[in-house]
Amino acid sequence: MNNKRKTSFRVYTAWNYDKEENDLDKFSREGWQLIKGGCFHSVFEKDETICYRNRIDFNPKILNNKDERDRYASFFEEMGWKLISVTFNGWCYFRKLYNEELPESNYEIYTDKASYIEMLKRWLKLGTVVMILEILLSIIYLIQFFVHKEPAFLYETIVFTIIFFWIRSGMNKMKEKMSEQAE
Amino acid sequence: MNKSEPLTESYFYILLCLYDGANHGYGIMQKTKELSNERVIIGSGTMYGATSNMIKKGWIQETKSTDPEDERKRLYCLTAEGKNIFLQEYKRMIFVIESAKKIIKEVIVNE
Repeated sequence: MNNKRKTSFRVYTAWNYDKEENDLDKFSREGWQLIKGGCFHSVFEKDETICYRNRIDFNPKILNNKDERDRYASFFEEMGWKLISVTFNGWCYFRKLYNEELPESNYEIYTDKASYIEMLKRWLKLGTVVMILEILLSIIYLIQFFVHKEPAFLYETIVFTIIFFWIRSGMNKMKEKMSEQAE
Repeated sequence: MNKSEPLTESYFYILLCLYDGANHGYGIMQKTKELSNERVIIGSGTMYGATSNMIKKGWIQETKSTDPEDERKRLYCLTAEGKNIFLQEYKRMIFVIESAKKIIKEVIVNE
């Protein structure tokens, strides 16, 4: 069976992962089924005969641990989810056949606040590391600029500072999602 | 962890479902749904997170199935500590209910 494929370069930031889920569900209803999810591009296959619910989870623990990955995937498989792909940094894409007769709760992978908050915290850990890295880089380039008086170093400083604030605002969005749960 | 800290509902039901023997993820989910009259649903992400934490705490562990047809499935069972934690929580809940009964006199029937 050779179905039509397309590659999408639409990029979602980590803190918009829930928007990505909604879009994937919408594409699925329109007949485009995700066969590979990724940070920089996604691959879809045309199939109008089925409809899936797509869910994205963050679990970097499985990246270098085959046994943990098996244990993780089996919980999902047992409940009808298929692990489509895992990105290099630990985002996992799942899909489950959609049956409109079943309640929406069948398509939730996080069903209590505690575990949902744990997932967001896993990502916040990564976000913090990247943020610290960005601010360190911008400081290093700023020092280089003062030492060498080369404007290129100043541009680098600006770029890394902008990335720093961008990630920080994203982390705040993730924290908002968390406090919405905690109330 | 403070031993008297209440368990989350998911943790409680997972331990309860393992009380009378080993079970796999799907089995725990189904049994929880049944025992709670479909009020408590445990999703895959929640189940994975809860079991990972409880393995780390030493409350549950993975075990091999004796049934050759079930060999591929990952089974979980309670450890002595897990059983102890569960019973402590059970006693705590009874104690809490007894306290409440001293104030609340009318009988509340579950719908």
